[in-house]
Amino acid sequence: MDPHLPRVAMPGAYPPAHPVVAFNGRIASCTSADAGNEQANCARRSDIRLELMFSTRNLKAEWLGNIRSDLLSGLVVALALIPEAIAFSIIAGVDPKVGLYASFSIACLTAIFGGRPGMISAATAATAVLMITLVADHGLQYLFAATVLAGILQLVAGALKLGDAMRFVSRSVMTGFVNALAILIFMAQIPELVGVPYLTYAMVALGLAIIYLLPRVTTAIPSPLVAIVVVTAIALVFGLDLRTVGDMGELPDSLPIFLIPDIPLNLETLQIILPYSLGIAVVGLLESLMTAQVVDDLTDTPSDKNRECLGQGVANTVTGFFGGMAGCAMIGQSVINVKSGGRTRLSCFFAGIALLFLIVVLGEWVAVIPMAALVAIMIMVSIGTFSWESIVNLKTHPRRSSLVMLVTVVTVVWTHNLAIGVVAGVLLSGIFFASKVAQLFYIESDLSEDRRHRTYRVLGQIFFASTSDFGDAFDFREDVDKVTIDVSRSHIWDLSGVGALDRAVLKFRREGTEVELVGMNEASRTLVGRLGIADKPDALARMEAH
Amino acid sequence: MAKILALIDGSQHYTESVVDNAEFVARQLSADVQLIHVIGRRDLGSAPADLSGNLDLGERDELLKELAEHDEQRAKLARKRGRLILSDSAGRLRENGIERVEEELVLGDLLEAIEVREPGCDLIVIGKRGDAADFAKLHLGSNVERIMRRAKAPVLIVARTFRPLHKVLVAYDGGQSILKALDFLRSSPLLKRTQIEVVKATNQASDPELDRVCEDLKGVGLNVRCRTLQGDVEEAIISECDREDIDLVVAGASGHSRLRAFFVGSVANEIVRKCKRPVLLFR
Repeated sequence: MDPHLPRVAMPGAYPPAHPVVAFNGRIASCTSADAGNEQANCARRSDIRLELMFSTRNLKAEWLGNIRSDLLSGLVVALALIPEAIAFSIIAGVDPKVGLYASFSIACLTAIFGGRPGMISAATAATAVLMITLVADHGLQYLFAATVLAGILQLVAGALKLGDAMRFVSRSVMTGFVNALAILIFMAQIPELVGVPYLTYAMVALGLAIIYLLPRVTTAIPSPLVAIVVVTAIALVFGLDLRTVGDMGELPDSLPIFLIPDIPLNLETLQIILPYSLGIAVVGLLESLMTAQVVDDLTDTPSDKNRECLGQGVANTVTGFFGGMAGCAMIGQSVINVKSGGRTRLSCFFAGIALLFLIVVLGEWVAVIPMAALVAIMIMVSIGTFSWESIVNLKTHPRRSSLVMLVTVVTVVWTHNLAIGVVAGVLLSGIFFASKVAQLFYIESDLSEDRRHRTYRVLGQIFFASTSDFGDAFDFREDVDKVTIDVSRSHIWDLSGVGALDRAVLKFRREGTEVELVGMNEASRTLVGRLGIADKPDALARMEAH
Repeated sequence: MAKILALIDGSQHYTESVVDNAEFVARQLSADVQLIHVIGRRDLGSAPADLSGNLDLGERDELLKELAEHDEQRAKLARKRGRLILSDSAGRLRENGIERVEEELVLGDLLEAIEVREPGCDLIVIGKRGDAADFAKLHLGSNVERIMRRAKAPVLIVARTFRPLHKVLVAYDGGQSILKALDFLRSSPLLKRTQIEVVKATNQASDPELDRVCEDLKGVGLNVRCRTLQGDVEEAIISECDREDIDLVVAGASGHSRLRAFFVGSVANEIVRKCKRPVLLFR
């Protein structure tokens, strides 16, 4: 048979990433209140999921379906992780050892427990920038404790299925997130580029040239690795006086060991670490789930977002106990992994193992790498992470969406906290959405023949953002005996909406006009019945208290 | 109207054998044949790999475009190939006088495809292994195993070459599944004219239960012979197949707990794997 023909009819070659998601479509149909027959099918399906989860078939698909490519890409990723882990340790203000161990531990654990095969997790810039003040003010041991706590918080988030909450993060906020992340990574390189010998710039330029130009010659070897080797070799051969990784701190020459963070276990400690842990947990999950989405799209396969939350939680909890800093999924590395052909859990796992091997074996050599080479790589990561398309899109995308993106970016760059930026972006997009929906609101009215009875017909959504328009639409002073408010084509969503309706009814009554409400739909009626006061005896007195 | 599902994957040997067997069964049962070719998830490792390890401007979008184009091309090829396989096989069946043949190309999971089409179907025909499984190591296709475990209808798992059914061996174990097989023997015209050997692996020389089964089958006019076999079930049955020149083994899929089946592999599984005969499996 022609080897180029796909091996069709063998779905076993690549079943979906995770069994729970595998039958997603069917499960959704199960939850619908269909016939009883459907329920029997549902039970059977969960049975299939159980079988898949423990079957060797699944093992094969998620670990061994793509061995050669996964090992190769894992190696490429491991080589790229070394400079990044060192750079992120330096951002956080800790020994490179902390970031390197963390990257090993997080990569291996998320490979096993995560929900997105083919995604790379390790020590990241996004979480590192959150730790700076904690390390500076309280020291390393508190960082380990904060890492453990962040992991536990992520486990809770996973157990509560907060992965589903990602749907509130709009596309614009996500774009803002990656752009802000790219800017943060770039900004972290600035200290290495200010007040240094001119030679440094030449070396950074050389590194960048190799990184971007070598792939035009060959794509068989990782160009960042070549950049490191060449820049280091030149520095050593010519005895250039450049800052090296060794100048930044001590490198590990041993395997990580289990340790319990040396901190007092009291409320005060919790007060210190909780804000940091919360930030790390939120940012870690955001970047991880966002990256999972990127990998989902690239590979056209589904992932289990809630399992990913749990995986990140396990990874951080354990990593904290092994003297590592918190991390999460990495957008850049995951893209590199997919690009290099990595698809299963094996690539991330092997990246972790290869990383540990490299740092233990090559420890001495890593120390002589000039910082200029790392800076070049981090600039590449920053450029690769930034969504350049979003700048072009500023012209064409809706202005409000662009504003949400920009607010997210500015907030992050200002606070150095991705979580705050995302919260700002989500809030703003929520407000924009509410104001847009509030425009889906219209009241028309007509007067009866005898000019004694006016009927108002309300169309659209009555909620906090549309209540003032709602109130303004009625003419309370008109000389009519009776008013009918027809809400059959509108929906009352919240307390403000109920309040606005109450207010309108009471105002008409105070003018001596009889009011009739018609056509309230079921949901609206329930809400008004529970919250409305217009029909209760002490209505007026209550109204004043509003 | 009886209906059989025939699953073809386009593998060199098995596709032909599945079609031939389907033809034979369809003629015996005067059944409709539904030919199914399933295109599953994409193959891993087929995507282009670029080990340069760098991130260019707009790398994500570029990579997405590249991978999407790659998948698109392969998917188009797979469909084209699938349609060819189906029309070839259907043409063959029609040439040989099977009139009611339906062809269907299914995208998605094989097992789900079967579950949807199983109701109202009397028999499923499938090859022992697909393109991917290694014949030399006697590995079963992973899909075959899944179908063996799941399908409600009887499954005819065919060997590489078709042989007309003259002599059939029934591996009686007293389990629920084999009782279904006996019902099938009694009621279906498929094996009416064949010689049927019912065997049971036991340490005794005779077995009253087996005798009862034998009498029962003879009662409906089947050509039956009953015997007990000594020793290990699987090996006894496999050597019996060779000695008696058996054309088909009828077996029950259950009999052991799922836990045991998971670790050790069920007896049925082993028979399908090691015995180079078609197996008609009941669950």
